[in-house]
Amino acid sequence: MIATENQGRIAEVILEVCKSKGLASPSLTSETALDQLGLESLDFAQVVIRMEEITGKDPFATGAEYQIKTLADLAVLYD
Amino acid sequence: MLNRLILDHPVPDLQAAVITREGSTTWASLRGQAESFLQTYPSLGRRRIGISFRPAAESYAAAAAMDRLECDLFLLDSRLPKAEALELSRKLKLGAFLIADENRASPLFEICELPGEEKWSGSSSVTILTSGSTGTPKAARHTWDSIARPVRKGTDNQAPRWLLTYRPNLYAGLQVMIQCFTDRGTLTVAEPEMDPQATAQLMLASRVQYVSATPSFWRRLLMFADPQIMKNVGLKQITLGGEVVDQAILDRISRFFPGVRLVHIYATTELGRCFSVKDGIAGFPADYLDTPLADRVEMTVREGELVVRSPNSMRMYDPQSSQPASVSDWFPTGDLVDVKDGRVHFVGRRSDMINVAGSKVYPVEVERVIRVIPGVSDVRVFGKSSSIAGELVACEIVPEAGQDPQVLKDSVIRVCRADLASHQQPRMIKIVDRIELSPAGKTLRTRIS
Repeated sequence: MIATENQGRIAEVILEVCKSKGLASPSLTSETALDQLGLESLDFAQVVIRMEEITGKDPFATGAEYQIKTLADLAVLYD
Repeated sequence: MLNRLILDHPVPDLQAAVITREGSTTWASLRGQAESFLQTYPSLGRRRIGISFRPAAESYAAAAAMDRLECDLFLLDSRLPKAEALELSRKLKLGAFLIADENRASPLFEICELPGEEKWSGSSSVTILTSGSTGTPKAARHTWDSIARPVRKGTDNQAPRWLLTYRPNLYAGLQVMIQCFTDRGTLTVAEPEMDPQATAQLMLASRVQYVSATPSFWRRLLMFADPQIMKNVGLKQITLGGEVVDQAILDRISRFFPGVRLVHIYATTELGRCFSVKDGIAGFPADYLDTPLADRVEMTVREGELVVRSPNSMRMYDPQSSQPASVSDWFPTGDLVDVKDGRVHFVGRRSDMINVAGSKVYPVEVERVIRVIPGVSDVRVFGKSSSIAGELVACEIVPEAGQDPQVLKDSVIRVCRADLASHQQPRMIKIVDRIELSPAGKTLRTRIS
């Protein structure tokens, strides 16, 4: 399930990107592994830019390295 | 050169020389203004003088007078606020800066004397200032002769009526003015920021025959101006230049104006006019390369970039400008080309290139794909900086009237997915009312960070 506002936002953006790639809409939860979605790194870059438009934040702008496996791991960076 | 055109030219006195929104100036009055400038300001002779160069008779008259006074003339954009223009004039070590007196009192110009004037070059010159990417603009020093050199006297018309769509202080705008005045014609001024309908009405009212403009100018005009007015103008020739001319705009113009001569030219501020193409096909014949052209212009391709040597080129960068002096007479244009099937096509500016995770994307190539999608009226592609990929491709699209934005967005995504590699596909698509143009009337490539 989707537990936080930012998880919800990320889920929405990922669905948007999947749709634009012509992929079937995956069912997303906080535990969904991001590398299982069939997205490439540019798609991920697109997700980050969309999230910045929505939240005004870019956690990757500092060059920091994160361990991100699941949707929740990504969402927490925006909290 | 310019001084002879305006001061010594036998032209019917009552014929209009310059038509602006403010009114019309006859050849007699233009010459009168130049003569009165000569009498009023002889002390400006043989000095470095800047002028706020408006698209108006008084600017042309002053430029002609200062040509005769053998000034080093610097043309500043008239939309620059006075304080900034003065600051720039100081940076360039000019001796004085001239700005038209808003009260239209006599004398016409306000003269701002400046300290620290650099030495005069030794003969009449005209320096074109183009905004570089940062700080001080590039200052390309031409002479009126070098600007006039590629101009041929027109044969088919005694007093041609030209439309000026370019900024008057930039190379293309000066070329149009010199061409028109060489043929003793009438120059009608359409400011680039003028709305399309007003431009069309001005064209009709002054019965314009010759138009030189960017593809972006035409896209906007054909989109928003009343088609019946456009068809009634009675155009003879349309010249495209200033940015990449693609087949779509050539076809669109020739369909809209059957029988009108369609020419596209290639010129840069530094090199002047290099060549023109009259066959209605985008790009230019590959046999223009590696052989001197009629004008003694020579072109070659080095590492994908068009490199030119031309007798029409500027004399030098002004020593006070930010640019280093040229070490070779071969000049890299910054325009990247692709030679295929005997034709050379422009793929974009080296500086416009978008770097997506190490892969090069040229905006023009992406625009070419999007522009032909039904429902798309205009498009601009640019880079958006990304913390993950360096840059991503972004685009703005102007829909045709009545087009549903979401439906259009979906079809753009679908076509791009089919026709472009992943890194070339626009990742941000914005539907907008209009595409912003640069002061030179070109599609802006500004990056968004």
